[in-house]
Amino acid sequence: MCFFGGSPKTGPQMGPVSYTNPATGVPGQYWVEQGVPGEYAARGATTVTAYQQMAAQDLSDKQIQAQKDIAGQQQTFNEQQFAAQQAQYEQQQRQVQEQAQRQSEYDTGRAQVLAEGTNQVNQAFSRFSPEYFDQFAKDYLAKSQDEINYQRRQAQKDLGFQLARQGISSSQAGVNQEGLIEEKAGRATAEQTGAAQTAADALRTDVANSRANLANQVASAESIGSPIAGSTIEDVNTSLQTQRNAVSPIATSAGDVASSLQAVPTVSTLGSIFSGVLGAGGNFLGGLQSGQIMGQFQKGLSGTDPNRSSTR
Amino acid sequence: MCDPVSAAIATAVGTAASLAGTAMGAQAQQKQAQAIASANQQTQLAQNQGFTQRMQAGVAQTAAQTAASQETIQARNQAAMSMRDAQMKSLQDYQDTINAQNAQAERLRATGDVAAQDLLTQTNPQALDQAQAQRQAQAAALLKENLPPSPDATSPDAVGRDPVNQGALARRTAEAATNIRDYGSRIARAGSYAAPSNAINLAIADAKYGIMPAQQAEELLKSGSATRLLPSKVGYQAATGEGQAQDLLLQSRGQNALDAAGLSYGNATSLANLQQANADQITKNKLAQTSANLEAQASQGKVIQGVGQLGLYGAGQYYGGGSPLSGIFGTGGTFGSQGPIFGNSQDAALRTGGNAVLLPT
Repeated sequence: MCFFGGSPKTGPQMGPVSYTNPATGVPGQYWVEQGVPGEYAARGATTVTAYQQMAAQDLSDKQIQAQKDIAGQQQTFNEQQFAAQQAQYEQQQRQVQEQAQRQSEYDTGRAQVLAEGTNQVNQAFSRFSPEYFDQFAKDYLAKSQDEINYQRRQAQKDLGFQLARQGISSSQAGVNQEGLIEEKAGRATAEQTGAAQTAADALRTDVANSRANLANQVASAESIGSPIAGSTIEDVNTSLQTQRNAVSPIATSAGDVASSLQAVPTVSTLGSIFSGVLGAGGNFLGGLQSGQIMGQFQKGLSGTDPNRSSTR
Repeated sequence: MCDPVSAAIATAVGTAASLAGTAMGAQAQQKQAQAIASANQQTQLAQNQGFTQRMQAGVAQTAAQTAASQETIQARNQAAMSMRDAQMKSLQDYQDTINAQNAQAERLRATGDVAAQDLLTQTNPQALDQAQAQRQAQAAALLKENLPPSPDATSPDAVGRDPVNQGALARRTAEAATNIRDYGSRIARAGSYAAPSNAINLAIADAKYGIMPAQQAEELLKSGSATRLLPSKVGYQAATGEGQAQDLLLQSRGQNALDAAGLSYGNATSLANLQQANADQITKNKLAQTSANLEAQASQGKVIQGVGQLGLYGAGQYYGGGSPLSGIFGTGGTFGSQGPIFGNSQDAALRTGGNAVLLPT
C-alpha cells in the first residue's frame, strides 16, 4: 500500500550488540531490540520485554537466594549459640553436681571424724560407770576408816594404860571411856561417809566436765577448715585428713585425762579424833585416883583396911 | 480532452476511483474494529494470565506459610514440653534433696529428742526423790559396813577380860552403835539434799554430751544444704534458659520461612504484574500502530475517492455544456470556494502535521 511514498517503519528497533562471556572470554555479536544488554542477549533475550522479565526473574531469584542464605547463616549462628549455651549449662550442671557430691562426702567424712573422736573419748571414759563411783566412795571411806581405826586402837591402848596405871582397869569408868572411843570412831566414820559421797560426786562432776571439754575440743578441732568442700576429691580428702590429724591428739589424750581422774582417793587428814576422850579420861582418872588416895588416907586414919578392893 | 470519448472515460474512471476510495475507507474502518477487538482480547488474556499467576503465588504463599507455621508450632511445642519436663525434674530433684535433708535432720532431731526425754526422766520429781533416797541409802550402807565391831574375847581393849566389864562394854558399845547410826542418818539426810542438784547437773551434762554429735551433724547438714540444693536450682535455670533459647531459635527459623514465602509471593506477583504490563503495553502499541496504518489507508482511499469525484465533476461539466476545466481551476471556481477536499476535520489535523486520532470502535 505504498500510495504516497510507502508505509512507515513499524515494530521494534533492532540493532547489534556485543558481549564477551567473562567466564569463557568468548566474544559474541547479537541482533536484538535496542535496549537489550549484551549479557541478556547472550542468554537469549531478543526483546526489551523478554530482557525485563528475565532481569526481574533474576532479581527475584537473587533475592530469594539471598534471603535463604541470610536465613541459613542466622540459623547456623543461632544453632552455634544454642550449642554453646547448652555446653555452658552442661558444664555448670556437672560442676555443681560434682560439688554437691563432694559436699556430701565432705560432710559425711567430717561427721565420721567427729564420731571417731567422740568414740575414742567415750571409750576412754567408759570405765567411769556408776559402780566405779560407788567403789570410789567405798575406797575413800576405807582409807578414812583405816586412819580412824588406827587412832582408835591407839586411843584404846592409851586408855588401857591410863586405867592400868590407876589400877582401875576393870571399872565402869573405863567401860564408859571405851564406849566413848567407839562412839567417837563411829561418828567420825559417819562424817567420813558424807565426805566420801561428796568426793565421789566431785569426781563424777570432774569426769563429766572433762569428758565434755574433750568432746568440745574434738568438735572445735573438727570444725577447723572451710564449711564448703574443696574443688576436687583430693582437696576433700586432704581437708578430712587435716581435721583427723587435729582431732587425733585430743582423742588420744582422752585416755591420759581419764587416767588422771582415776587416781587413788585422797583423804583429808582427820586430825586427833580421840584427844578429847583421852584428855577427859585422864583428868577423870587423875581426879578419881586422887579421890581414892584421899579416901584411903582418911579411911586409914579411921582404921579402915586400905587393901580392900574397890567396886567402882 | 474535451471530446465525448474523454468525457465518457473520465466518467467511468471517476466512478471507479470514487468507488474504490470508498471501499478502501470502509475496509480500513473494518480492520480498525478488528484490531481493537483483538487488542481487547489480548489485554483480557494478559490480565487473566497475570491474575492466574498472582493467584497461584498467593496459594503457594499460603501453603508455604501454613506449613512453616505448623512446623514451627509443632517444634516449639515439642521444645516447650521438653523444657517443662526438665523443669519438673529439677523441681522434683529439689524436693527430693530437701526431703532427704529433712529426713536426716529428723533423725538428728530424734537423737536430741531422746536426750531431752532422758533429761526429763532423770530430773523429774520422782527421779530426784529417788536420787536423794539412794544417796541416803548409800550413806547408810557405807556406815553399816564400817560400824565398830563388838568386842570379842581377844580384843585388846582397855577394860580387861572381866566378864562383868565385858558385858558392860558390850552394852556401852551397842549404845554407841545406836548413837552412831542416829548421827549417821542425820548426816546422810543432810547430805542427801545435794543429790537432786547433782543429779540435775549430771543429767544436763549428759544431755549436752549426748546431743553434741547430732548438733555438729546438723551444723554440717545446714552448712552444706545450699550446695546440695544448687544442682536442682541450676538445672531449673538451665532448663528454662535452654528452652527459651530453643524457642527463639525455632521462632527465628519459622519467621525466616514466612519471610521466604512472602518474598516469593511478592516477587512472583511483581513478575506477573510486569508480564501483564508488558503485554498491555505491547497490545496498546500494536493497536496504535494498526490504527495509524489504517487511518493512512483510509486517507489514501479518500484521495482516490476525491480524484474520482473530480473526474465525474469534469464529465458533468462537459455534458452540461460548460467549459469543462475553467470552472474547476478558475478564480472563484470550485477549489477556490469549497472547503477541504480530503475528508473531515480529522483529515485536516493530519494535514497540518498533528497526531493520528483513533477511530471510534
